[in-house]
Amino acid sequence: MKWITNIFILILIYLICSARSCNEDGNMKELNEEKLLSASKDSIKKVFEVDSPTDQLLVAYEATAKQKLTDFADYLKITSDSSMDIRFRQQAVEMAVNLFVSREIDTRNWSKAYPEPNLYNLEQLLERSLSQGMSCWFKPLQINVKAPLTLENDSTFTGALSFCQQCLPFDKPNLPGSISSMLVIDIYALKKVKSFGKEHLRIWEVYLGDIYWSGSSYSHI
Amino acid sequence: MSDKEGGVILRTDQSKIKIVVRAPYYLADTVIRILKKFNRTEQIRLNVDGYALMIHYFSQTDVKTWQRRREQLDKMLNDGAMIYQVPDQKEGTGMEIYNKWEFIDKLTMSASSLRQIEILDSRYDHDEIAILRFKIKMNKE
Repeated sequence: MKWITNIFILILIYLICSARSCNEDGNMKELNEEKLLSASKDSIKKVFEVDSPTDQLLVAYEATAKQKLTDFADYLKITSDSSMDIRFRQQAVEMAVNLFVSREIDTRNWSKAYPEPNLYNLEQLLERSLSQGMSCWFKPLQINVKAPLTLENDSTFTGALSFCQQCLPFDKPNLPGSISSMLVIDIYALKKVKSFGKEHLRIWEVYLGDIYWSGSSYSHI
Repeated sequence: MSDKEGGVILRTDQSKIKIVVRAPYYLADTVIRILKKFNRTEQIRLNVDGYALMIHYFSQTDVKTWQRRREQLDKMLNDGAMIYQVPDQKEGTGMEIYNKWEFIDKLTMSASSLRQIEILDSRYDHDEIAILRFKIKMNKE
């Protein structure tokens, strides 16, 4: 009988010693989370740091460019709206600039319907919009890919979008605005270094470029 | 994979299954079940991803509380956060990766492209969002 008790005690000791503590479980969970996080980061890097983007990826970047054109119109609307807080409008200026390859890009054709002359480039357009506001804003419509993104060199793809603008006055937002003839905007996918905290990735990013006029006059709808 | 009510029918000849459940605005969970012949339906409870819901809310609100929203987002997001927009060919939306402040700027600026944001999943690093995957639902105008 005594040896049965001994065996039972031994089994009990084994079970107690081999059981995992709550703390151990917590550590395991944390370690697992860290592994999953690092794996997720690696898979993101793989997608964005790719050397030569696939056709599918380039189509996605063209869609990004369309989105950025709409964003530009939204930011310019905020910048031009003098009823809004100035800090908010300044932030919109900064964000509009970041959408383009350079501050000097030609925006004459975007600005043609404004009564103000001499708005030759993005910098002048934003400066004027911020300091004095504008009477209307332009909403891009019918945005389509005119020239798909094609390889220029190992860190640059170029293409173009076509669109037209609708002029919407701030004081009469419900008035159907005039629609411009077709415009064209250059688009770029550039490989650039971007920082994520302490980490720096070399990834493809989409930017907007010069805006061309391919029509002649404004028509009312 | 699920129907409108969140139901999933799983056919298998295995006695033990392991599934990963993911849903917008809920934390992903791995569920292991030993299947029983007579108990064929089961409800799985997921934990709400509060931050993801909050981000969705921020993208919908106006500009009045702008500065406060930026500070709240600053606390929610890890400094090294990678925020990834998933492309959707059907919706015609693109792909983009944002760092922390780019995303805060974009989310707190009233751009139409981020008004219909849907958080797909997120990963945390010490209670801060380190990875966020989202897509944009376009407004058909």
